[in-house]
Amino acid sequence: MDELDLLLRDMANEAPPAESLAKVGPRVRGTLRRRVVTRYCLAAAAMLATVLLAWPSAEPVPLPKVPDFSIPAPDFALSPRIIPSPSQSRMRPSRPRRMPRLVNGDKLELASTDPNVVIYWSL
Amino acid sequence: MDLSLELNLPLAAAAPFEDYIARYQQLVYRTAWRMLGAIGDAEDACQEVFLKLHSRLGDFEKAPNPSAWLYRVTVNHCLDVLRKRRPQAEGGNFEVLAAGDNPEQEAALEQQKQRLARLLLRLPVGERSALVLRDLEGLSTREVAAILEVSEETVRTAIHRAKEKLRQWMS
Repeated sequence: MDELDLLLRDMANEAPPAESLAKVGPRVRGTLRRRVVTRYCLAAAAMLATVLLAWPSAEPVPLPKVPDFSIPAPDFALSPRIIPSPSQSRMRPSRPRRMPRLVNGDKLELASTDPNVVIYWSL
Repeated sequence: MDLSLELNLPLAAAAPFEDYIARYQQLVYRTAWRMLGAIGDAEDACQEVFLKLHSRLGDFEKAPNPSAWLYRVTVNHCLDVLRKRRPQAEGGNFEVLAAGDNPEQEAALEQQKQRLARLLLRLPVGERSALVLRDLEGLSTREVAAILEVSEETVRTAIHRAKEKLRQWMS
């Protein structure tokens, strides 16, 4: 057994500093107490919030009396529907539509979108 | 102090926990102190270990060897602290209390121990853990191997290397 082993054995028998060791218990208890208090506070806050949100409001809601409880309908809702004339309609064609016409007793000129093309239909 | 009332714990849980603090605080403190070097760090480590014990009381009570369980938790916590800490080139500042009796002899011995303790902090954490648990805590090689989760051969090698380094540094 050399000097190192003797020193290690001496260190092994050395008591830890009592003053510092005495702080361990109270520190652990204090931390646990703080954790418990925090947990209770959070639980209480959550419960309070739940109750406040779920509780019906004590203030009465001001409702109108029965005769006043009517909604005036706007005039246009009851008036007959006005159908705009084709001239007023936005669907009005920009140029006059070509119509089929009877050329003679057995020939019909069909309407064509191309003014240069004339189509006849023989009856 | 009635811990159960203060902490609102079931009586069955609070009483043993208070017992555990009283019974194991020296074991936890000593290990943390030797591993970390500073008194403040040892106090912090103790607090963390006991809080862990409180949250895992069931595991602790079911453990076949509660002391080994506590050693493992303490060593693991210290290893975490040491990993986060910057490496100490000069071996840190190990704090020891000055002995009161036989001033000259005690002073010389204290100086030697303080130097050794500083050198302990220069060892790699694996070698330091093995040396602290076996030579300072007095555990068997098998127990140290179980706590550190390594083979017995690894523990022997680590301790041998640690002692070689310490002898070299001290000479």
